Amino acid sequence: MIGILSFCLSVLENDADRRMLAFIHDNYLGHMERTALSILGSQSDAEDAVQNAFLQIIRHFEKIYSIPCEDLPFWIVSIVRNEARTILRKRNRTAPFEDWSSVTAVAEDTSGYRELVALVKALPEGYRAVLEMKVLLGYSDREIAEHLGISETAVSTRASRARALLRKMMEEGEQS
Amino acid sequence: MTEQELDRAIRRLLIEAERSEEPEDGADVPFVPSAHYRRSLRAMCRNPLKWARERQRPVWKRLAQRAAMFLLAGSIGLAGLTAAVPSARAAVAAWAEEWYETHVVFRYNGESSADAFREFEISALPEGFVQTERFEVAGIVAETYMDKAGNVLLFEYVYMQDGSLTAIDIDHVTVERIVVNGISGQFFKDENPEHSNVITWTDKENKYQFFIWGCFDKEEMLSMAQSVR
Repeated sequence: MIGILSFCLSVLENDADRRMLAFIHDNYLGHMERTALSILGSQSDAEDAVQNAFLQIIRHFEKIYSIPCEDLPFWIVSIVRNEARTILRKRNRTAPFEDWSSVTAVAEDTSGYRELVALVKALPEGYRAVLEMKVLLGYSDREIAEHLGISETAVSTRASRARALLRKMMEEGEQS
Repeated sequence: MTEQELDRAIRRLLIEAERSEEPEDGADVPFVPSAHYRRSLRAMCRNPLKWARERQRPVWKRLAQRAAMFLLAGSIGLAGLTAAVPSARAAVAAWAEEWYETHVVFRYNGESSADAFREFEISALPEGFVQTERFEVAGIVAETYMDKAGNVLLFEYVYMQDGSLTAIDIDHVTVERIVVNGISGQFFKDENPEHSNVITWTDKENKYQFFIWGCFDKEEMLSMAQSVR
């Protein structure tokens, strides 16, 4: 963790990076706060989630430049959502029920792009969180495991299952 | 479809899913930022790297540093003021408790005792807790205790001399009056169960203020407080 942060430190020494962080703060803070509060319902927890999200943004700052501008707010909000869910999981000390069979049943009726988006939204929380952290946010398996309170093996299993399903759906969609 | 193409497609889908779930402006309960949170974000904007380093430190280390620094800064700050402005000394009561929106301040102005500084200990520590750190400077002692599970307990006491002040952050806490061995004090309960609660009481006769910080309930903290010798 120290190593990663040290790297980010050098990145953030750059004036352009600092301006980017200020831009995120000035333009998306309200959005981040509302998202955290709507998930957690507690002001104090929401403040923690937003600050944890900023910590993740700083740690993964280099990722920002690979995100198209118009997608940046959604990338940021997905970080907040994941930090909020992590707090929720710790607070409740329970793992959500991950019903994979219901997703595969929904997948049988999936054909177009909108249905694919709906399928992603219907993924069990733990699967979608793994995909978001891995593909969208660039977290390592260890970081994801720490966030979700599961083993690195479980992270890998969930990621490969979700990827395999989405690949199958997309390839079938291309053929039809 | 290659792995990279698949990743790009999944990224697109995740963004689309996120976009379609955006809460509408004004649809939620209003977010009312605490003063502590606002200060923290201002610190991040000033120096994001320092803020990130600080933020990723374990909670107990941040707590220990914040408590100790607050006490030290306060003690030196008002001592300097009253030394420089004699009228300030006469204008304030010997013991004062000032309640603000975000914090409460305890002040002492009056005679500084020539008695030797005493040491205290919690004789009824919770099971498994051992001392891991001790910090002592200018009449302030802060001792950290930990158990094997990583739970943390902080015991602090301050020798209140002329001009000393201490403070406790009261954002998101409820306050209850308590009595420790016949001495009145307060129990500050944080609304977040993962944040430390605080119990404090002041022995005005001997001019010591005591604090115990930790994730314990009132009865546990009161029991520890009553065992301080």
